[in-house]
Amino acid sequence: MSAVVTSPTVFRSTVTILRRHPGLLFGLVVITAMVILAVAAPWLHTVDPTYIRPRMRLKPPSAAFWFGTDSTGRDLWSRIAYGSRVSLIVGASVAAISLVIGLVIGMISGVVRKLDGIIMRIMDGVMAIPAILLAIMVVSLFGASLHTVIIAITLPEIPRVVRLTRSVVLTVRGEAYVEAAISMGTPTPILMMRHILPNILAPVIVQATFTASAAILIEASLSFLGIGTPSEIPSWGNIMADGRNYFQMAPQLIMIPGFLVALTVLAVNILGDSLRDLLDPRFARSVGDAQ
Amino acid sequence: MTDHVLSIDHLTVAVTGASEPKTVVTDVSLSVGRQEIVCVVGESGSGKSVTSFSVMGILSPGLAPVAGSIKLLGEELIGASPARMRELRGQRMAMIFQEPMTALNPVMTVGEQIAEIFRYHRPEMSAAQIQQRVQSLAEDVHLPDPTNIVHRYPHQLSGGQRQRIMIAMALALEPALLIADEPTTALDVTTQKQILELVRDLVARQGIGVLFITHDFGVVAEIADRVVVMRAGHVVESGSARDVLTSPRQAYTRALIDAVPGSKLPAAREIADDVLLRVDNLSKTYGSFGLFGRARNANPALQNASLSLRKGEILGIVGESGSGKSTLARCISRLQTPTSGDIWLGGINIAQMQERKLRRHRKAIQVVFQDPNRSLNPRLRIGDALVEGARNFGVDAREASQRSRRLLDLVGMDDSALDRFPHQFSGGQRQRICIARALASEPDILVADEAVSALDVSVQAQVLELLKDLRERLGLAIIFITHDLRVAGQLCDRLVVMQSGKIVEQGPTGSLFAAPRQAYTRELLAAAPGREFLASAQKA
Repeated sequence: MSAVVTSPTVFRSTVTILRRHPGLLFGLVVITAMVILAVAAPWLHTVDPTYIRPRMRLKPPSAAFWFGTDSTGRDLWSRIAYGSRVSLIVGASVAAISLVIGLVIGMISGVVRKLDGIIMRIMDGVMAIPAILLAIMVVSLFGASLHTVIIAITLPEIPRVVRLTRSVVLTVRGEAYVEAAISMGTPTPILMMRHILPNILAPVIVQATFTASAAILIEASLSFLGIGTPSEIPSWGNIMADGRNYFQMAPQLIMIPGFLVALTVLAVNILGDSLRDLLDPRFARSVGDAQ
Repeated sequence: MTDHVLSIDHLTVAVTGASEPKTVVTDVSLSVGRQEIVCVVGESGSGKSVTSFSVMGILSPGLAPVAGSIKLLGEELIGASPARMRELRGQRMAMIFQEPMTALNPVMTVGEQIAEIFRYHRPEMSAAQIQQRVQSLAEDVHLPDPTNIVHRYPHQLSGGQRQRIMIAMALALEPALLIADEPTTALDVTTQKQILELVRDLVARQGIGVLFITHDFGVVAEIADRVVVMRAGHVVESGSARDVLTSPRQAYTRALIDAVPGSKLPAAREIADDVLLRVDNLSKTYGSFGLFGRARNANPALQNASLSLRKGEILGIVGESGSGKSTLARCISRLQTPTSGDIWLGGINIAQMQERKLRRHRKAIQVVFQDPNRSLNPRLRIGDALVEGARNFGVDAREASQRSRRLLDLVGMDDSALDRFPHQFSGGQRQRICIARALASEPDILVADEAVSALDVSVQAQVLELLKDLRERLGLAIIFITHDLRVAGQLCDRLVVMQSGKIVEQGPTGSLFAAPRQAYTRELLAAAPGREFLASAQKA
């Protein structure tokens, strides 16, 4: 009964939120489209993206090859469709892993003051190494694979999440409700889970979206430089790297994947911006405190 | 009628763009004459600030005057061009606010900030003339050492001095009207008294009219020539200060006047000599810790404080900001670890106890904080917040939830609160919830740290009644920390007066009020606004 009553209102409030935050709508639409492309790639008029046709090199777009073919005669559309998987997997897993690890370290740092100094100095040390160089080092040490690329991009992102988490934990720790919980004898783990975590999550989630877009960009750059995803796996960066020498004959080899990287990164960033507005407690409270 | 500096006629301010018309100020009329102080009194949400913002033309977007007129020296302000309003602000009318720190630029000396006004509005003045004018303004508002103080930055000044600078800036261009929006609410009582005197003095000397907004009838009694009482956007009563104070026509006005704390001292009560808590020579020094060990700047916030608390007693700790009263409370409730000294709780010294061991003893002492908006976890339902304390001390879930219902009833709220979130309640209700939460672990001692300071006077009176009631019913001992001696006098059995980290005087409320031994206590007592009026009202 209640579900019947609430679902239209939930739907209506969702529509209202999307109308107020057009950025959110844009971000969600683009990302959903990318996810559909990645998941449904085999059924979207694609062929094996690694199949080489020596006689069909650098063909212009046609009915058979929607975006044309590359320098070894592979179908560009299929490569781009399958390549979206790499970008999305890298973006999502880097964001998720760095979020979880950073959140845990950051909360420990913010709550257990004895460890704070040590943890933060280590994080400063990690941050002092340029992200791209660290990634190159990790990939050359452990060999190129999707996993190493993800690890290589995640490592330098962790300190950012740690710093952000720690700073919001410190703010929330000073709040009277946390002190009230301490004076009620709340054990530290419960204090962290019940009182601190729910109140720091919003800014950290917003940070995670920016991490995701940065990861997509870094993966593409690494692949373009030839040190990222192994070249047999189609990724947007690899496609651009292959197309580099044929730019004048077949500009679509760089233009299309380049445009898609830019579009995805833009969509994720705008999504993050809108989430920040939406999750801002000042906004949420102003609604509640209307009278 | 031309003698009026400001006259507001039938002003109505409404929310714009709302589907149904909603007015926040309805049909308000008032006037301010030369050399006159008109107080607008009301609780939060009464529309007193909106009225003053309409005069200044600084209403927040979404609000607009829809009817009536505002005349400043005969000139209509509603519909005046933004450029004209900018000219009038500063030149003809000026405003001072509650929190002077946020209204000053932190990276500019205060003298520069006053001088800037002249550079912008009086380009013909020479640098030397401006300097001279800044000096004389600093003297006008009685700043100490005016030649040097103008070269300081805002953070180097005290709250009272900053408010004086704000007044100097407001008066720089010799406006005819000064609007003061709760200018003393954030200040200590003794500073408040000085600022009120300054405003009165400026009115007499410079002939300006003042529209003074406040929620405190004590302040009204000190300063007002005429009073306008507002409630929910309407003027409910107006008249001369004497008439309104001595014979209010409306029950609401009566209630506001009665809500001024300190109208009556409680009768002394017999308290059994059953000491719950003893504090001996407690000291706390804050030190900043650098990367490599201890750093300088050791600054004692609390020095050798000793006191005791008996069962069923309300002990007031009174002092101005920075007196160490909050540090004392936080050490007693062990939110901070004291540097030295003992806290004896039922024969156990908890002063230096480790957190793990301390947890069991925390049950006995619970805290109610100042700001009810921040002392409830915004993402936790009231029901969950209320059972937490009991659950931590091993009460089973069913018993804990039954207890939370009883507690809500005890603080005068009903069960429907359990499923709601903190933002769905008003400040007073939230403070009741906080008190209920503190009681959930069945403590012996309640530490109330400025627990009523953030509340409207009438709500404040209700919460004070609640605390008294709880003491009667539960035999609770309460440590009541406040900067307001009037509130303390109304509630407490015994008082501790603190100044710069030390206890300067303690004793039973009655004798401390009747015969304060220390000069500082006398000063605090004398500074309480509305004291003379209250004294005369008590005799009558």
